[in-house]
Amino acid sequence: MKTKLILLLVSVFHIALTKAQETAMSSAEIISFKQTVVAEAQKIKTLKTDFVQYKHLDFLSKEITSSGSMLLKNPNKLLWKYNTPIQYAILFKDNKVLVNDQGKKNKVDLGNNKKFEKINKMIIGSISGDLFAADDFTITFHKNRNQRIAKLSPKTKELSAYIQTIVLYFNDQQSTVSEVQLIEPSKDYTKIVFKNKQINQPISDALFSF
Amino acid sequence: MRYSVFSLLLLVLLTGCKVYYPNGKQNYGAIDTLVQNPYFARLNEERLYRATIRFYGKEMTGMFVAKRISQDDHRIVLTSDLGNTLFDITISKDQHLVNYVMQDLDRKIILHTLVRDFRALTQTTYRADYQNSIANQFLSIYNGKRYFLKIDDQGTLTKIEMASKYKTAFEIQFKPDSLGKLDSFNIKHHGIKLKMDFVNIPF
Repeated sequence: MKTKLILLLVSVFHIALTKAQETAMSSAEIISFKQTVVAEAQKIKTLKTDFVQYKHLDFLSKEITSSGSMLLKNPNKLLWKYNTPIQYAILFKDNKVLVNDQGKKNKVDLGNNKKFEKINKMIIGSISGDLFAADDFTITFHKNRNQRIAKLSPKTKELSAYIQTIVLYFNDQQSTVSEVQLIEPSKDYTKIVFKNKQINQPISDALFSF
Repeated sequence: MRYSVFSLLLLVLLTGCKVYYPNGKQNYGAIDTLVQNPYFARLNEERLYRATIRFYGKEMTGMFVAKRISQDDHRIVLTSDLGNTLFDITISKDQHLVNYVMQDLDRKIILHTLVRDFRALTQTTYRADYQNSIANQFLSIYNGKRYFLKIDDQGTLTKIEMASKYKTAFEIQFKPDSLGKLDSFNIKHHGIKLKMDFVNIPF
C-alpha cells in the first residue's frame, strides 16, 4: 500500500514536472521568434534533409518506422523519398503529384489525394516557416529548455477532419523545423524527425523527376 | 411455339440460378467440424503489410496492420505511405466499430465491403457444415453466407472464398512461409473491380 502511494506520488510529481517544462512564450518572444523564422525561411532556396517517420497507433506496442530523404527547391518542387521499409517516392512538382512505387511510376494514388496534397503543402509551409503567415490556423507558441514549439490547429472543418493539430519543434536556436508532429482527430499521430539538414546547397532539377 | 419459348426461358433461368459450388455439389458431404484460420489468430501478435489496393483502374498503397486485440476482436488499420490513417476498424464476428475513417472513404458501401472482407480474413475459426474430401475443401454456412475453405496437403489453409447462394463475392488467397507465418495474401472481388494485395514487411 505504502509502495503504491509512493509510486502514485512520484508519477503525479513527474507529470507536473513534465508539464512545467513546456511554457507559453511571452508576446515579445513570439514576435521575435516569428520574425526570425520568417526571415530565415525567405532565404531558403533549397533544402535537403534526411528524415525518420514514426507512425504512432495507440493499440500497437511499437511505432511503424520509415526513413528516407526530402528535397525541397523553391518554388514548387518537393520530393519525399522513402528508402525503408520500402522504396517509395512522391513528387510534388508544379501542382502535380507523381508517385514512384518500387519502380512503378506515374499513377494516381487515392491515398495521397488532393486533400492530402493540402496537408503536404502545410508540411512544406511548416518547414519553410510560411505557415505562420497562413490564415488557416490558430497558432500558439511554447518553449521548453531546448526547443521552441508552434502548435497549429486548422480553423476549417475540411482540414480538421484530417488533422487536429500540427506541432512544429525548432531545436536549440535553429530557425528551421527539426520535427513535425501531425496529430489526427483520433490522437494517433505521425512524427517526422529531420536530420542532416543542408540549406541552400545546389540541387539539380533532374532529381525532381522519375 | 409459345410454349417452347417459355420452356426455353424457364430452362435458362433455372440453369442461371444453379447453386454455386466451386468443385461440383456432388462431392460435398455433411460434416460438423472446426476449421482453423491461423494467420491473425495469435493474441497481440503484430505484423505489418504493405498494401496495394486497385479499384476500377485506380491504385492506393499504404501500410496495413491487423492485430487480434482480445478473444473476440481484431483491430484493422490502413495508413497511407505518408502516414495518415485511412481507416481504423475494430471487428468481431457479429459487430464492428469504426474508430476512424477518412472522409473520402466514409461511405456505407465501402465500409460494408471492408468489414465483410476483413472479418473473413481475421475470423479465427469456421464451423464447417460440409466437406469435399476430393478437393480438400470445407463449406461453412453462416448468416446466409457461404465460405469455402481450401486446405492444402499439409493441412494449411490456402484460400477462403465467400459466396452467396449463386455466385462468388470475393476470395482470399494466403501464402504462408515455411514457418506458417503469413508472407503475403490477397483479396480479389468478383462482382466489382477490387483487388487488394498485401506483402509482409519488417516491423
